[in-house]
Amino acid sequence: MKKVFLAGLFVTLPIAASAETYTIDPAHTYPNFEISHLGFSTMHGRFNSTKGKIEMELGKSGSVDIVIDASSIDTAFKKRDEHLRSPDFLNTAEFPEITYKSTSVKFKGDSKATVEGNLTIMGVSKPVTLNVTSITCGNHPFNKKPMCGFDAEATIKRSDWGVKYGLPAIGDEMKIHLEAEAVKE
Amino acid sequence: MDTLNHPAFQAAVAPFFVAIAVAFILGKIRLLPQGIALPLAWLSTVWLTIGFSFSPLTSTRKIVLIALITLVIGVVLDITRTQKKSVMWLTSFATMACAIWIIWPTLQRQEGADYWSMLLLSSFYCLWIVYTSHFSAHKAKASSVAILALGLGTGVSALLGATAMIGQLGSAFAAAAGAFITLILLKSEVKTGFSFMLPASSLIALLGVSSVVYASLPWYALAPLLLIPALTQAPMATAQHGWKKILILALHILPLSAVSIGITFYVSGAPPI
Repeated sequence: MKKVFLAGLFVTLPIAASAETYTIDPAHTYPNFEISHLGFSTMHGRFNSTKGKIEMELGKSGSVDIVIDASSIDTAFKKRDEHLRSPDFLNTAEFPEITYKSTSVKFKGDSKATVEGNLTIMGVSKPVTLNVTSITCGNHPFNKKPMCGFDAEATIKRSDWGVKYGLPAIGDEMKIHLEAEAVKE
Repeated sequence: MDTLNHPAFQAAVAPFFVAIAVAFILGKIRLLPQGIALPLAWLSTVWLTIGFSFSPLTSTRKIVLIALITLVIGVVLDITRTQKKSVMWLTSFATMACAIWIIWPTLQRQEGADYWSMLLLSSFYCLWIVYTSHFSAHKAKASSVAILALGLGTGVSALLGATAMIGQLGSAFAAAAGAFITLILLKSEVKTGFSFMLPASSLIALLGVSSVVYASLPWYALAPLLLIPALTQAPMATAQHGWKKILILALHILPLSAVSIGITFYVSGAPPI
């Protein structure tokens, strides 16, 4: 039994040691979206408060766990933001968090990846694939801490999560962009 | 298809015509209490807007579930001709318990004064609206005008206070009650009863509480609506007959809806269309 445990430890130790944990920097991470407004124009909005962790062995493996404060939605118009927080859209009083948890990460070299995972909005979880178009890692130029930056995007249909208010006049399809920075722990 | 998706059709036209049609048919064949036309009309708006999915069980879906339960209880009370005061208290306290169930996800995150004010105001509002509404349940004119006023006050206030969905659901009650008033004015024999008043008063009260807790409707905007059910019992309203009674009731009660809407408009402004 002892030998099996030690053998297991030696097998897992190099992997555990090489995977690095990064903490999302809320000051430089803003999930944002674009959606058609009545077919006339494209409206943009963002979430001002995001936290989470990214575990990554660059170019090999990784995982993503992001929590967005749904009530931090910001479309630069207070009245509309209140409406977006209401049960018509995100119902933030009942469902204060939007979460994304990865199920698999496939790297394309060191600077691109495809992340598959589950996006949970208003208690409904659906699979969403994030296309990571840029990964840049290095030391912060001022404080010299190791960090990584990510640009990712995905397209979803809000009706899949039960957000059906105003359909079809207000667009169903939403483009999501996630520009994030994370600092190594 | 565009017509079915239009908010005005969903919240006004559909419930009005469903209520007229069902009340007219039940008035002729007397298979079920005629008052059931009102909750059925409201459910037509539910079908056109949020649908009948119950997972996950959000506050609005809880209200739809309660609608189905109160509809059945109302029919049973009408068929068994139950008019005991204990039943009135029981249904009022049951609605109060439903309100706590609906606001629980938010209530449990509150602390101190915020917790108690949310709990007590929501409970009192539902208890008062449902209990006082029961007194006019079997008076077709008084109950129809009361629900018209409560539906308008709750629906339009919710619309202005940033939740169009609750606004539509509240307005649907006003439209369906308007259908009952139309039938009365057309000299049709109309009966309301608990199958009309129990779902209507319970759901309007719960929609009001949801607008305050889950949207940004100020609680004091709903305060004038508390007087509406009691005012239907006022002597000046009970002394008249026919269309004059409806007119006098409307003149006394609808200004309270207007005050509620006015307060919300003053605080929240126009909806973000």
